[in-house]
Amino acid sequence: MSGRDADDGERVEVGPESSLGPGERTIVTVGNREVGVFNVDGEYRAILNTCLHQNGPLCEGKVLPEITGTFVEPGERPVEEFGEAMVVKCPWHGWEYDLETGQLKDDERLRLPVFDVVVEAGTIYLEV
Amino acid sequence: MARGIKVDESIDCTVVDVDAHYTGSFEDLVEYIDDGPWKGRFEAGAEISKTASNKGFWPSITSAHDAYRTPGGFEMPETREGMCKVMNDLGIDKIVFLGEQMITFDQMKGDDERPIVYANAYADYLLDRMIDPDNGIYGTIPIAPNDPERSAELIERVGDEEGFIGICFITSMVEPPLGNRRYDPIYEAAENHDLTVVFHGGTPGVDSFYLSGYEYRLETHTLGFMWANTSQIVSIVAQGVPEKFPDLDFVFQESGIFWIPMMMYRMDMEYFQRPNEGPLMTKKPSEYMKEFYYGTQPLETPPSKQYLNYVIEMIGGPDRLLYASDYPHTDYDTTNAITSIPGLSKGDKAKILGGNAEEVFGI
Repeated sequence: MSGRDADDGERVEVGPESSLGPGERTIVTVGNREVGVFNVDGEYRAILNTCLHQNGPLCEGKVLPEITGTFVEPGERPVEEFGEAMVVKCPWHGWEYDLETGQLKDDERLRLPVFDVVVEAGTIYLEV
Repeated sequence: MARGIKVDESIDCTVVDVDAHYTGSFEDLVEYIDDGPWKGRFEAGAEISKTASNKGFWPSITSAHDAYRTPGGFEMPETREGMCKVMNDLGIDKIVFLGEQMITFDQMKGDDERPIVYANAYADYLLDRMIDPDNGIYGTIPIAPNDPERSAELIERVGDEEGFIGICFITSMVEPPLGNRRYDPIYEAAENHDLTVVFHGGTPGVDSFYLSGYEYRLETHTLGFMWANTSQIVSIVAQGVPEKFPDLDFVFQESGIFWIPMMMYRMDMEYFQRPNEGPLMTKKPSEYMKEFYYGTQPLETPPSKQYLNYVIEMIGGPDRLLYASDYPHTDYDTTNAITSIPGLSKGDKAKILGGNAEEVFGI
């Protein structure tokens, strides 16, 4: 775990680019909050590490592609495929959040804060 | 005939009863069955049903356990004229009824043809003898869920007949449950003919449904209809039936209304924990349930009637509810069940008593 206290609008150093390869994650403490920073196939994502359900450590959970279904015709099984969105699944009860939007599937009231991640001169920063 | 039920004179809106039962016997149906073995079987069935069965004393289900102390219920006419008189006595302008006998579909064992033979004969019987849109008498097409193809054929055959405004499933002991894709031909036919889908709770005896050993009807009648509908609603939502057939309206009947928020919030919680199941779903379960319609009977009588308002609010408001009597059964609800709910405007009560049903069923 890395990072330091910061006020909103600040930039928090996460670490060198080399410290967060594809498929890796780290959890950064920002003030009294924790934020998970993920490298998802080269794209950086950051989301609050507190599940809205019972405050579980969301960002310790699995990162998976969403599954979509398509109705083909009556009497046939729907076709299931991976969708474009990647989700993180809370290890406590399985609630899943879109890593890009922070949205819990199909409930607009339930959305976690997500944050921008930038890379400058080989260093990853979290914008809070 | 209506045992002194008094029409509520304060009601000045159209009253639609979306769930009354016609108690016709097998005997009435025989002439609607083509000559052949099934005609003989139904003739014999009619004879058997006239004789005292030992089931009443040595019951195989708790439904028959204490028949000698049931209040007796009400009579149901067997002619259009008689039906009009009952409706007039009860202050009902339009009535939607389904056949009493089909409630026992779930108890039919052995051959798999009996229900669809019955359904065809019953549909023809209704058209010939009872349905009368000019006088506000409508019916639903009985569905034999064990035979989706021939049920779809029945819908194709009579679905455009004036007066049939929906199809009806009895929801108890239907396996697999009604969200399964094997029933798609039925939903597809209903959608093609602009028919509303009614899911009606089934036999009060849950004796052989989920677990056996109950002793009293008090137990099984508390559970039966509600259990049947909860069993089906989860399947219909999770399997995406409303997504597959977006033009269909769905009505659940004869379980009261308190079960609805319970299922909404239970299933939402499950969905949040298993969001990759239900791949056709595009919204959480409660949102689907807030688009379904619900017959009100038997409307619960909580110690504070205000609790009814909370439930109505939770399920999406008065637009979701359709007054249902269940006449002539002994848990019949008069219109007073609706007019006595506090906190509803006159307009909301008018919707529940009739306006919503006119819209849902297009009557």
